[in-house]
Amino acid sequence: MKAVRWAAIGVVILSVGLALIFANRFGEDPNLVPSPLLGQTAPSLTLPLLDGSGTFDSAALDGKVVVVNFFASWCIPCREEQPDLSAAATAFADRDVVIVEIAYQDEADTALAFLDEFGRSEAAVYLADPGGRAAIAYGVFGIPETFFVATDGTVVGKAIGATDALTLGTTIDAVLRGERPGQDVLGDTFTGPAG
Amino acid sequence: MSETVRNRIAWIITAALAVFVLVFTLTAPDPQEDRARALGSLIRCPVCQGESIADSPSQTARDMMDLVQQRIDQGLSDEQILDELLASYSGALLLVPPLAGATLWVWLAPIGALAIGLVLVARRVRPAPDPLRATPRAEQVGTARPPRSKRRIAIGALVLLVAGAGALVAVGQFRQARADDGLLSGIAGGEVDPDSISNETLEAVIAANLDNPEIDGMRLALANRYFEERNYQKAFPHYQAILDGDPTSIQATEAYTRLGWMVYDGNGEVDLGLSLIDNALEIAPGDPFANYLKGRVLWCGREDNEEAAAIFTEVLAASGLDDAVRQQVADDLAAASSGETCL
Repeated sequence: MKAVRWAAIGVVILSVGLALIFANRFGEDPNLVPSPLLGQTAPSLTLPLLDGSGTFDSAALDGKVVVVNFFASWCIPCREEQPDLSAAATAFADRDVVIVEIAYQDEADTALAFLDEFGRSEAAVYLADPGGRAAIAYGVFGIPETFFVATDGTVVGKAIGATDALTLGTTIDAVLRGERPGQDVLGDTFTGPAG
Repeated sequence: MSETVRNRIAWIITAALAVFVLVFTLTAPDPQEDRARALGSLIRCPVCQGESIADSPSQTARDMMDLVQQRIDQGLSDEQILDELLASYSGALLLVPPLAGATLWVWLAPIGALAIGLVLVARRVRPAPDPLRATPRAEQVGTARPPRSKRRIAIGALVLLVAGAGALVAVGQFRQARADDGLLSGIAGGEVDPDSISNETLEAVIAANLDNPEIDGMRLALANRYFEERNYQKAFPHYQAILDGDPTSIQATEAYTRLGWMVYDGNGEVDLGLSLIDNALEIAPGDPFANYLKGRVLWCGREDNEEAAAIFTEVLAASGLDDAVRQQVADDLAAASSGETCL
């Protein structure tokens, strides 16, 4: 019966070990998957401008720090961060930093009305995303999501949830200094018009 | 049954079969579409709970299915298509963990456990016969399992209790409080070094918080940065905005003082400069910084060394001056008193 006893001890040790491993994950969001894009080259995009006045090629931003934000008129936290995004876009325009906002699963006219209400910057680029191709390329789970791309085209940061001017600014400052801020969860996200 | 009838029946059956085959062929799903569905059923819909993109009605799932179909039409292999999606969403996008890498043990562990179990069961069912000690069967049954003593049970319970308590304590070590704002690490951690914040960040924060009166402190800090850089053009609107808010606040004192110096130093307007600094001194009589700059305008702009020296003396008498500033005022006092022109 020695084998059974050893097996029982083995099971106990295994259970405690697993409990410790799982417990180690307390405080982490199990739904939070680290973006595999971090450290990789940002997807290149060619998308129609939101106002329908032409198309935009992300190659035009080579050598600049780019902040890519996914938003929608149906997204509640996006209302909170929109004034901050446009303020940051204006403030950093002279530092070769461009904020690109991509409408996620939204109609152009409602997205434009959203920008009119919550703020838009002359310095920012507003794009449509037909077929959700850009959102898929960036691995968007729920919005708002914001990606930070360094001057060499590498994705160096991702913020999940609504950002604010201080977060955006200090993160851009860090990227301009050559740091890699990584990923962070700032708040709730919305996955679709139904919430 | 006549031959004609048999012939007719044969014809009807043949025709029916032909129609059946035709209908089946026409309505059969496109093999390419099948491939998209099969591939889609492997991919987790990122915005759903445990649903594949082939099954989910969500917009995201439909967009992803469209992309899969488009890639199939472009002639890409299943592996290439999966790689493209996994590159942006990570391996968590797969509904079934891959039989390789970190998830290999998910597949192997149950097989290993099953094998160990089978071995144990086999050993219990067929105990190895011991030819040297052949004992009567009846006796063996009686002695195989002696009743456990109460002492052994008590020890076992104690061990379990201690092990359970130990596990609970160990698990507790790993519990960590989650911050209210959900911040875990990385971007914009709680502590931000004010010196590392760029002027642009401050501009953005101020522009996004115009309705918040608390923002005046940050505005003043930014305006003072521009002032130190002698970038008066950028400093001016911030000082102006502070005065537009509450012109009697402590921030207004500093705004008036520095505006006064700026209009003198930038535009050579002595009178306007002095009157702005006097506004500051009305709010905060005897303010050493306002007084010092007033003395400088009088000395540099009006060449009134006597009045300037009197003010510098007053400033030096004030408490709380920082050593570097005290030194500067003392140097200016010595220069003004000896009739030198301002530097």
